[in-house]
Amino acid sequence: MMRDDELDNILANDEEILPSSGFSESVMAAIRREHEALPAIPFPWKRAIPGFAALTVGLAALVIGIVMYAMGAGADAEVSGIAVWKDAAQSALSGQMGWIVLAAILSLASVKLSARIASGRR
Amino acid sequence: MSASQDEADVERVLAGDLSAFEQIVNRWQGPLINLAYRFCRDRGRAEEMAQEAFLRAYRALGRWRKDSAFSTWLFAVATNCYRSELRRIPAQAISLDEVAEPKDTRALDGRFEAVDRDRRIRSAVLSLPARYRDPLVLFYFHDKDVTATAESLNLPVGTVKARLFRGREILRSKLQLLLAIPNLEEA
Repeated sequence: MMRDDELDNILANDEEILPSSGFSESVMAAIRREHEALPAIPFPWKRAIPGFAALTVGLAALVIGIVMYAMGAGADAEVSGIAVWKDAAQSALSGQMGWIVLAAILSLASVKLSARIASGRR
Repeated sequence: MSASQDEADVERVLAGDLSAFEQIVNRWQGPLINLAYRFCRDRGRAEEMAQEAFLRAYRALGRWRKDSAFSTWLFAVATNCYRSELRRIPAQAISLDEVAEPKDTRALDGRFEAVDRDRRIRSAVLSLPARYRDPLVLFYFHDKDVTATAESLNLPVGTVKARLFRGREILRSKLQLLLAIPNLEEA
């Protein structure tokens, strides 16, 4: 018959193991690797935000142009699907061409600059 | 004294002297490995878990507020580490269904090889749900100190007591059934 204090005794008197001989060295090697590791390169938000903004403006201009054209072409039910998209793109481009080109150039320049900074730091 | 040595070594590590952390490792490797062993019952894995616990302690050393003993803080870090690791890869616990039945059917009075029986009983703790397993493991590791157990688990003392009581009940009832010990009762 096992009493509760006997169960208590069994659980309390657990076997004790000794650390292996190389444990301490292994831990310190890991600590040193941790200590010597280069810190993560932070994302260059200040330089990336103008590019993101330009890209957003360009996309918005394109979408607005397409929507405006679609609203105008909705009255003409005989316009085919492909023709609508073709005309919409042409309208968007002709009306917003300059801004879209500027936005694309700014985006590309921002990405190039960010890549150069990131590779330059390495 | 260990407490003042711990504090001095922590200060040195924070000042940039890595070798001081080796003193901390040498001082606490035994207890951390043994605590890990009680959670997993695998020597190799216990050392891996203890190494990870030391790494986490190193990273978080600046957050030790010195309002508690360094050992208390270290055991809390290690406990969190071990519990996370066991959630990721559970220990290979011996199911209570696998606890050995008597080979000799005549010997139903529970007289197993004492050492083997004790080992299996300790392993059976690992098959309990974590909310009962963890307090039981830590309670006996901390020499039945409920307060130290509660600090390691970051739980109120009352909660720890309740879970210890319930954990022992579950363990006792299952062992009673499987080891065919008729009266496993409160002392």
